[in-house]
Amino acid sequence: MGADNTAFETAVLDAGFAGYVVRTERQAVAVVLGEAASAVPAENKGVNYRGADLPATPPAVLTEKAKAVQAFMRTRACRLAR
Amino acid sequence: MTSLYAAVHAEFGTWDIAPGFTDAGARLLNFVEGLSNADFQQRMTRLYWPHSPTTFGGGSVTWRGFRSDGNYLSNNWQENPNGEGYQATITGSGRPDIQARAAGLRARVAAVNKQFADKYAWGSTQSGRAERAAGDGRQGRGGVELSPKQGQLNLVGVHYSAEPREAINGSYFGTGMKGAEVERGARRKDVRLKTRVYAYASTGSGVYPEKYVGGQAHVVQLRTSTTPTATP
Repeated sequence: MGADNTAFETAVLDAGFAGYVVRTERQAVAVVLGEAASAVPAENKGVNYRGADLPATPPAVLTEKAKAVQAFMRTRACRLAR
Repeated sequence: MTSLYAAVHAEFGTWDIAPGFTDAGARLLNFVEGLSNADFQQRMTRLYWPHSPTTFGGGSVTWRGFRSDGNYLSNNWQENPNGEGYQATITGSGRPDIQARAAGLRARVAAVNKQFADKYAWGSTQSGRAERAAGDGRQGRGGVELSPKQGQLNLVGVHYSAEPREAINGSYFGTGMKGAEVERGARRKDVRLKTRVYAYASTGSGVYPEKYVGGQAHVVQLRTSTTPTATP
């Protein structure tokens, strides 16, 4: 969550997605961007709720466009590495 | 008082130190960057008497210095129209009872607003706008699509904020945060990226929120719907 990944996020939106999911060691983080993030319906659970009853997030299924976004980032990373 | 204000400006070179009326007189507060309180009080003492009124409200005039151990609490009303800056400060103060009282009051005010808005067709309240936006054709009610194709994602996440909400408005993202994330937000030239919502999702053992995200948990449904948000 802390990285400056502006180019990636712009590519995500340009490809027609409204966000992306990042998996970390013990959880996943969904990032909703742009118009889709202007009003996300929510059910308040109060304090101390840690989602123990939530279903596990299913593995990601990459669409062709998602693969294209990843390819974009690999290309960008290569450019930066030179 | 005008004379005093002009003299303060001439002395300190700023209009930020303005006499503020109180029930018993007036006070001048120092929030000027780089001006120490000791320097401020010393110069004010020298400045005050030649420019003070001889009477104030019919009584005599005295002059005292004072100090506060707290910091000036502020809210940028353009960026945080609902006072989120104050809410973040209260959240960090370790006084959830105050915030709970404020949240209760806000909920009652919102209920009254909604009642009258429905009765007299006044148009949008903020929560009403959010509900309608969530229910329009681009975002199926109860869900946000993360993919332009069906069946790619059906995810239940947990979003944390400082106070209970019916809907998460990503345009408030970063409220109360400090440091690198705020700097990153300021650098984002793609304005679409300034509106964002984060949600933790369980991979089998619940979620582990970071400490700055707020105490109120909200379950959000993030799922693919039948209509894409944008045409690739």
